[in-house]
Amino acid sequence: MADMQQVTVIGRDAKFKGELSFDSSLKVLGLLEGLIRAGGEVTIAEGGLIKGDVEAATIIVEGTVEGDIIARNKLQLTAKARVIGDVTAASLLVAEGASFIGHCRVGAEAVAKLAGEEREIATIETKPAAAQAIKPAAPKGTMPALNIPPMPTLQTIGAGAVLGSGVGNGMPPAPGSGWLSA
Amino acid sequence: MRYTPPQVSVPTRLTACYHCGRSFAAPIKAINATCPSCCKRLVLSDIVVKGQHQSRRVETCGIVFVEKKSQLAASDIFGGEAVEVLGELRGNVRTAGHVVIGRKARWSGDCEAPTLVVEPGAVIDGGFFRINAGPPVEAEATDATSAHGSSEQ
Repeated sequence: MADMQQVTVIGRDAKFKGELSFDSSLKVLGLLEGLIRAGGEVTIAEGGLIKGDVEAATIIVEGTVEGDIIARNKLQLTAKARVIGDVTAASLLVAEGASFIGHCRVGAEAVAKLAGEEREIATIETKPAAAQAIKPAAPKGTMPALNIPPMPTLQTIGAGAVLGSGVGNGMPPAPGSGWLSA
Repeated sequence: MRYTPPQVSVPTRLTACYHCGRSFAAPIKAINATCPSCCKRLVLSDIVVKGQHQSRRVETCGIVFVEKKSQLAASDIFGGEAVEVLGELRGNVRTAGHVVIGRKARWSGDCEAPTLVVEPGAVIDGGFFRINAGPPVEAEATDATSAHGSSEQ
């Protein structure tokens, strides 16, 4: 029994909502709403419905998938399959009668490109955290020097000040006009 | 006495016009025809692409076949019976039959067909596919018809 291939089965009457992630295989007979990530094979049996994205090594669709599919190895659409969503697969097999609406990218390049894009996104996400870690910590008791640009000096206008003619029009005040002379 | 030609029954096949979509019977050996409904000229023979071919439209009631190591680039490709690609194809494909993408083929463009066969090893560069998706939306059909009409004039 232990040698048998481990397969997770979502039964015909079952309804699952959420994210599934595992290394073995999955067979969906019921309704699954959410994201699936599997290392092995995912089979959507006849009558099975997935509303969400599916990512696995091998995906066999006999039922319905409403979401994007990423098959790192092989994607097989049988005669009764119905897929509405984008498909990325290293290899695609479509049986006569299968229904598919969406963008399609097939080939080892497509999967490699997708993996590259994911890696790029991951590095962008981790960059700020890494930069913080490298920054030397300020010694205890001292405030870290802040790199704030110098503020323009402000002059208060005293009581009885007479505004010059050049104020407000971008022109320098005329000499002896009383600009800032309190 | 008036001469009456002998009645010869010519074997025919059912063909659909790629301009108006109406079906009509055409002789099996015919390579061209005029649609009895819209009076536009139709190509009935198969189109085989050897080497490199570029054009705006490739349309036939028969089969469009792209041979190995050959390239076909066209904005609109219509094969009434089928579109089979063993080489490289770039363009938007419509067919009333099946689409076959061979194991060394490279496909770039949209596809609308009742049946799709993708052999392992084929490369598809992300086109929009409508396979066995039922009849297209009415608006799209009218747009396509008007586009055909304007190009002919």
